[in-house]
Amino acid sequence: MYRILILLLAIPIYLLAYNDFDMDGVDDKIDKCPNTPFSDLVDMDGCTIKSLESPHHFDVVFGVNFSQTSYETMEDTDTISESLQLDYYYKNFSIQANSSYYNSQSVTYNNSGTNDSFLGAYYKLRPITNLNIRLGAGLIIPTYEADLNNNNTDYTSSLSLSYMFRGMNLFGGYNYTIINDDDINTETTIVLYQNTNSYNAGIGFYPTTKLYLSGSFNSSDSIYKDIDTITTASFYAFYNIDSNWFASLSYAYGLSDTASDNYASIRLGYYF
Amino acid sequence: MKTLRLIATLMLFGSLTLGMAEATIDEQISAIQSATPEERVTLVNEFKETLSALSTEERTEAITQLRSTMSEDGEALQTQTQTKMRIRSRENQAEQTEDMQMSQQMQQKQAGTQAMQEGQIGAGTPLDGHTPNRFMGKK
Repeated sequence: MYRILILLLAIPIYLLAYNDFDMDGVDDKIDKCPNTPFSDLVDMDGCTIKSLESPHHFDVVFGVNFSQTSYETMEDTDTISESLQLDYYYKNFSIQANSSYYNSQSVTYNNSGTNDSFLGAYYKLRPITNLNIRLGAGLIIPTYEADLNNNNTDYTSSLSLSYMFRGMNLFGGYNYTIINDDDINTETTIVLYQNTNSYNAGIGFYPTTKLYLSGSFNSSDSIYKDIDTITTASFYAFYNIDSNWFASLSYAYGLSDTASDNYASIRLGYYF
Repeated sequence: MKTLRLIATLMLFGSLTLGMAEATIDEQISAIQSATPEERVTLVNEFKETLSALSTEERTEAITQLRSTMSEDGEALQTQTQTKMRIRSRENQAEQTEDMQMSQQMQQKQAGTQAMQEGQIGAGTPLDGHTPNRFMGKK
């Protein structure tokens, strides 16, 4: 009887003493991989032998964008566009396609149609803890019907870095675009295109578990020769509604004469 | 009548399936609780395979049930989910910034069309002191 009592007392003590941080069934004291994803099957050491999570993921992002311009020789113009973006993710690779439909209005000018479309591929890597690098290459497809030449597909490549430091995200990006549109050089009209470099750098943080905020400085060459660089200061907010839905808001204030005075974009996305 | 019978059969089948799934999860969690450390790993792996066939809601419920036996507060699972969401927020930021910069360039293309239609292009050439593309700039 005494032995049975001791045994019954020992069982809860044993269960309390047992702790398993990553819930893989291996006690933390002997777990050689103590932070295994829950979707992974593990061996006796607690290390991954197989993942149950599908490597294929998708997302669909719908956006509404607004911009205000007041360029030198033209009427002030407001443009609203609706965009649709599709992404496919496979492990560290992803493919992105997006396009948008715009409507521009000023006092005497009104125009609408499809903007240029984008098709790109990305690869992300993590060479050290806290550092994420994303490399990309893409095509800007001339779906915009321009009165000036917009007759060829442009090529673009990008690099973006994100480094988490004491709860803050320090990030930066570079983008180079080869503009293939033909120059217009006649007696009455001169329009010269150029390849563009774009940079951005900023800082972000997580005020709550679901919310991310950031601010950045952005600089981009104009596609036209002899035109000042486009510079903006932007604010970005991202909210994780749940594990599938997310929403984001961005605002950019034009710092240079060549930028839109104001640019705002709101997006809703579904990841699966 | 036939339709009603079919609906009733399907509902009964659905309830039975759900009931059986719940029973299986309860049994699996009990087995995990009382298993030896060697058996536990195998049982947890089996439990995860059962979970992968469930809906999101059922999975969340089952994981919550398991948490109390495996970890004090399921901290790791929360951390992993949070990390995934945070990575997504940062990737989205890179995408949206690139997109904003492309939009600014797109805006200039649109300005080109607008300038053509408003008759602003064509008056100046590099030879008479104006820069080309002179439609761009601030008022």
